[in-house]
Amino acid sequence: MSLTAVAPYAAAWVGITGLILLISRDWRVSLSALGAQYVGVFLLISLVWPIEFAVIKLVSGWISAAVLGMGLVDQSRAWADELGRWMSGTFFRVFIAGFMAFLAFVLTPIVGDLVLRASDAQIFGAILLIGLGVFHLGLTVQPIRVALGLLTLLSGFEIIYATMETSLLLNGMLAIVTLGLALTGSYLNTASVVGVD
Amino acid sequence: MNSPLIWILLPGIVALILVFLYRYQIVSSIIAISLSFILAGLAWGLKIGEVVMVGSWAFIIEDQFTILGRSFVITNLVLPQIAIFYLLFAFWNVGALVISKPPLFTSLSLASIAILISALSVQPILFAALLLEVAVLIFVLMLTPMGQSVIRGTLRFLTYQTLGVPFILLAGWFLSGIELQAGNTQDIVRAAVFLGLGFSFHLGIFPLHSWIPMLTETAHPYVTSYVVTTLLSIGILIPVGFMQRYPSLNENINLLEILRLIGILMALVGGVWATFQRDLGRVLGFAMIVEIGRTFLAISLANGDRLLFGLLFPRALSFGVWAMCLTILRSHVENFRFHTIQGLGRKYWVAGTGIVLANFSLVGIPTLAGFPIYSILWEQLAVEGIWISLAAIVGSAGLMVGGLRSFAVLVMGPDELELSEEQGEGFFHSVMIMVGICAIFLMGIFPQWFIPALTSISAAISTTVP
Repeated sequence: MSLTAVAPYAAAWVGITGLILLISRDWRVSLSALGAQYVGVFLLISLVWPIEFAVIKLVSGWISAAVLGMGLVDQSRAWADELGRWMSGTFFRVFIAGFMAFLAFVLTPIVGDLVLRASDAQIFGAILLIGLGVFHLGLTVQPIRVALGLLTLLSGFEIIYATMETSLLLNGMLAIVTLGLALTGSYLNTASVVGVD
Repeated sequence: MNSPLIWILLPGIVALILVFLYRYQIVSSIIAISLSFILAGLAWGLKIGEVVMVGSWAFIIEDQFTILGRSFVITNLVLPQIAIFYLLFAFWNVGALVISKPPLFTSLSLASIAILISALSVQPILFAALLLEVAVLIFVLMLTPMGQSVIRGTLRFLTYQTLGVPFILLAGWFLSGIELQAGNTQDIVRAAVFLGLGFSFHLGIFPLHSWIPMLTETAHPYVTSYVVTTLLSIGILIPVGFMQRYPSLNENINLLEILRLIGILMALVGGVWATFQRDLGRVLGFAMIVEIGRTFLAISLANGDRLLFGLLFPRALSFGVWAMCLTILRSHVENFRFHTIQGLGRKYWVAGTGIVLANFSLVGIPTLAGFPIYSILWEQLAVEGIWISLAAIVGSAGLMVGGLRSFAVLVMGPDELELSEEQGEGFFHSVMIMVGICAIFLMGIFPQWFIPALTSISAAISTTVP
């Protein structure tokens, strides 16, 4: 099976992982979803980049997930359930995620006129991730979830940007920013309990 | 040997070493301040491309450092700017000597300056957005010291700054396309829109300004002031660099008019909001918003680059004194809400005086530091249109009302305060604030001492991005 044939499934995959990040109550599930999301991002970027370059995104994403996870291992109290006792919060998020998917579907041909090298699956996946990331950011005040939202948003942007800019250094620096965001998120999560003596 | 190694890599390495010396704050401050004076002196005295003799050792300093096909370029023309940036760094760190500050303030602030200078000197300029983001991540660490919970303002700051990066990268991509096929108006408009959105997030342009008052209300006032003024002083040169690098932006869109409108909006929003604040920290935040507006108004003028640099020191001095006074008060009160700080100016009168005078300096009251440069700005804006100047003055008037309210709250207690055994600000605090106040008056009364030197630096701005 060629990568082009896998692309629509990869786009759907990143959408599903983005949704899991939104509705997950357990930090382990969220970080696993983040790691899985980068597999989809890797597949979508592989359509335009050589595998050995695209794998940079996968590795930096997995390291980011690991860094965030290490910050939470001893600080799981820092992960608060924002969904509440009832299912209304979950339903709301699923509904908004569905709306984002619809929006991404509508916007795909419009963005396609601007980004000529990108396939529909790449654009759809990218817009969906950006939308879910922004939505995630709008719903949370937890440092770790803010980091997850920003990483989701940047992943979406990186899919589109990979089709436009092929500079290895630039994309390497984007990977550094991804890692920096994860480190910052992890630091913000633990800063309150790490005192200076 | 090359110039980026001296003014970017060396301070970067020293900053890294200072991280490990965080327990010895005085020592690390002295090292960082000394280094910044040395780097400023070298920037003033050295000539890139000429033979430098150190004893029997002769070498030439190149202006370029290349890595993976990309370059960092620091030429003779930008050296005065770099000297100014390191002097500003020294100013903030000298002030920080006497106040309680986060342990990593010195090292992280040095690292942030080195990274921002690298963002200004990198070619292609597209990379500046990513370096700016790295600087932002360092600012976030500064705003959340170890042992303290993260505040919402910091999270919003991080979010907005990160949201700006994709827009700037997209703008850079469109602009590089324009370079290859000149005259594509549609792409120029797209690039301008993306660039505008990106820097609106970065510089807190209305309505994306909410993180500024949120930070000044709850975060460390001195660190917040450092972060905002540094972003405003150095970060603003990146969009200016884009405008210089791609003149087609200006030719096809009336960019200066747009900048002027943004400036008016920011000055008015900041001034009007400052009038109604009931928190000393938030008044400071809205004063920063007014100052962002003034900066945009300065850029929109024909000789705006001169004004841009003329604004640097009055701004740093006023915000520095204001933030230092707030930091000293913060150690005695839980927050800066008016009902909490009522009458505090009678007990901590030096800090109270500093807050009010710094506020009035940023308003542009005669004899204070801001007046000479603001009066030039208002005069030149009036040439463009009297209503533009009036809008800027209304912004200042709003800030003045905010300052008068702060003054009233600081001196009017519900009744006479009991003076406890712990009196006043402490000797070193008082001395530092008094020095700051004297400097505010000196800059206001003798502007001829500093304005010509600062405005002459503007000659280099057009070559920031060769």
